Amino acid sequence: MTDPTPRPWLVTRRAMLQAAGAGTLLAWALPARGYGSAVGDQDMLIAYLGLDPDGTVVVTTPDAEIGQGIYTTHALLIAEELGAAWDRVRVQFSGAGEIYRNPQKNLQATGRSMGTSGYFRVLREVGAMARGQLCEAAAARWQVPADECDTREHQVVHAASNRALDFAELIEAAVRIAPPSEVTLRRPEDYRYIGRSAPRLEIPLHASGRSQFTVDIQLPGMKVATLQACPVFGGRLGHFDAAEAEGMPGVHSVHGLDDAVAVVADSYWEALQALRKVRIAWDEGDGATFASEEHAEVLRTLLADDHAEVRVGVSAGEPDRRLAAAQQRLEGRYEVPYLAHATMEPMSCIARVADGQCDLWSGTQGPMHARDTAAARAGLAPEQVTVHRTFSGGGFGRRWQRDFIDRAVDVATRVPGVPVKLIWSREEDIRRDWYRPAYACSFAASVSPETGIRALQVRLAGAGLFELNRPGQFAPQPDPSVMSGFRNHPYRIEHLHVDWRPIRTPIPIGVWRAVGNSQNGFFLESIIDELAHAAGQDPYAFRRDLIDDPRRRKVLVAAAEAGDWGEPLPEGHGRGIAFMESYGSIVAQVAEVSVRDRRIRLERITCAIDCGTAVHPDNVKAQMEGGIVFGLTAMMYGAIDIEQGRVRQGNFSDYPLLTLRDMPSRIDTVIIDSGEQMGGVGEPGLPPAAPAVTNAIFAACGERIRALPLARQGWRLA
Amino acid sequence: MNKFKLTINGQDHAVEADPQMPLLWVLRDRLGLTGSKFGCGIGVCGACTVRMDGAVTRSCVFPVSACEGRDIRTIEGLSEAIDHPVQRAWIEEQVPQCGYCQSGMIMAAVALLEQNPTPSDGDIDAAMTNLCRCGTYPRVRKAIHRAARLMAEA
Ligand code: FES
Ligand code: FES
Repeated sequence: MTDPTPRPWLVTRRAMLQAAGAGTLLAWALPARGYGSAVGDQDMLIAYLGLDPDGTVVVTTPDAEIGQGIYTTHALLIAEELGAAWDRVRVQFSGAGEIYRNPQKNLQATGRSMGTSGYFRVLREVGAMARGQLCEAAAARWQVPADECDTREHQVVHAASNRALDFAELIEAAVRIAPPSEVTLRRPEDYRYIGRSAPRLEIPLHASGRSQFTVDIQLPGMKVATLQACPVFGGRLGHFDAAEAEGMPGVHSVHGLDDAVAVVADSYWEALQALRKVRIAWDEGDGATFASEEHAEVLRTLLADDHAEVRVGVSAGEPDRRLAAAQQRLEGRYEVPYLAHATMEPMSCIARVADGQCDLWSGTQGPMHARDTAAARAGLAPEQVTVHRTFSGGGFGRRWQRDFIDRAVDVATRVPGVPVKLIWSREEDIRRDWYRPAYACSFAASVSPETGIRALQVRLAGAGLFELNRPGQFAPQPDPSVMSGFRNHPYRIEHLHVDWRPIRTPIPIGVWRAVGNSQNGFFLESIIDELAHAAGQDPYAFRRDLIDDPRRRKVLVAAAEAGDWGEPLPEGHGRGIAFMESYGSIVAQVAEVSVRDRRIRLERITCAIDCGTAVHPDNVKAQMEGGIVFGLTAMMYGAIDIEQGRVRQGNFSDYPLLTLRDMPSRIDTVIIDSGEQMGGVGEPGLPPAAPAVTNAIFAACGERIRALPLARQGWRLA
Repeated sequence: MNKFKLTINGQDHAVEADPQMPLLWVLRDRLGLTGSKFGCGIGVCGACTVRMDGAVTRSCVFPVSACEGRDIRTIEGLSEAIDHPVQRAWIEEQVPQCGYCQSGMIMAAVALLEQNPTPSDGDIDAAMTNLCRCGTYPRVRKAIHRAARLMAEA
């Protein structure tokens, strides 16, 4: 099929804009094929793929690059099918738009570890469509059937006649050919990128300081702003006196927002100096009575309160009767505190509002709702908002929230036409977060060496993320965030009961790396460990014998074998094991620690993961390492305390992170390529990390860790 | 506001700023050199690490008034082609995740290797106090050893 009009996907971005102006873009609507959006293949092609005149492939990623490597992964999916050469591929960030929705969640949103699995098919199909056009163009030139042609290393090749043409030489012709309506995807045995670890494309940018995070963007006439919000959640701005601040050097203007004061200046530092001179009276509201210590006490009470609201998440067999009849009953209580995200780049957003148009520059994890919230704040329609996405200096769920967008737009509407780069101080970032909620968990169980777990009863108390604004929304079911790990645990437990006792909190809570799995992994895998020891069994063998499913058992076995489970250890050393399945991936970890006088040394961590297909194995390993370090930082130090409604911590000095010297000498990851349904990798490495280590501490010294963080109980890293 | 003459990556720059303004914000907001990052503002995280007369300096707590006449080096001046041995090692070991802490990490590693061309793990532990929220530490360690080898071969 030949068509006289150039195909839009084969032009540069600049040319595309010109073409749009000339009215030739999107002239070809092919039937929709159900990507969760009402657009046709042609539109998908344009949205995700471009070719520069020199043949450079330009891939557009719809996801935020928050450290998970999706920038590279999306590029390699297209490169695989297109047959591109890796050094001729580059990546750009998409804007916000329905066409960029992740088919797995029907939303353009970076989270739930779905960036690879969600776009796995779409992006390969896009690459295959473009391959079809290039092959047809070459076939016409060579006078051979198109299906005898294939692409490889940026060339169309015809093996029978030993001819090859570079993509760049075919653009002119290929742009006149309609993309195929049917495509054949490459067979796994022919993959050249999937399952191998092409060098990540964003890494040279990061290694040279050239990657542009939101805080790095510079625009003509831009000002820099910072802000202070009411230190008490739910409080409002009363009144403020900015006379002194307004006269300070470099200061442009001072603005009162609903619950904050912002200073706009020539530089961040000048804005910050001036902000300190603004005299502010807050209207603190009821939140000022909240104390996290009391909250923790309430959670403990709820666990024992039979008249509390109880929502049952798992109910199997008759654990009550079994426990009543048991001769030996094992009981315990676990606790975790509120946690902040502390992304390395503090919250930031650039906004410019003028002439019925709003432009945002942001590393947002939710471009569509960033667009919509900006529109609402600025009194515009969503089409009047343009989202320019940047690299994100960490996300972990924090950049899914809208508050940092809202505030930037609020300031920008007060200085029309001026691009305002709003950067939060680290203190604001930590004190105005959407925290991983504090939780308490109690259990009662009975075990026997012969039958394993006879009965297990687990109670959870804490706030539900998804019910934050609408308490009771999911009743009688628990909030969807709270049962993670308890419904999909791998163990044979015939008599199991898990319930949730909800509580309301005035503290903003939100998604955090691995969300509910982050605390439930610690609860469940500590409990399983306690039961193993109570049954007088090896914690690894105990777990293995309770896992019937071969795929899951294989992961546990792989971790144990790679982690040298059972090999003799020096005095004072111990090994622990933990298993957790989250976001469709199965992960087991073995930790080895040494313990002396409440000083712990992380000696070695071994991880096994089955994520179905490891699209980029080295990045899977990097994500396991990152998830483990994130989980162990929380285990060791993570705690947000609230007194009189105020967050006590404010910077890395009192919200510390693990450092390089704390690292074990080895973190090894074994990848099991089962070929089963693909799972995620950004989050699943985290949940088993803390329990593997605390179980190892128990093995080393006999002390059971039932509350995090360890630093609170006098533990130190050696 | 005072006038200051700064030498950054071998080039002279004239800036106007309050004497107390930290070098980081002079670099970022006055000169548009955004490779050095803001992470904490209190000298704890190392995202803002630059070198001053060779020494590792956390520029968020270093006033511009103390910078005159010093040889200031930032990530931008490390190499044009991203081929400084430390950068090559960083790429070969695929170190960065989100990338935000990495300019500071690299500048600290360059300084370490200049003073100590064959650092042990203990030396690396002592020198590399930069924070990385993404947990790239195990690869940072490997990359420093690799950079040491690359520098020895050169
Ligand atoms: S920003 Fe300078 S040490 Fe953190
Ligand atoms: S790579 Fe993200 S903070 Fe270090």
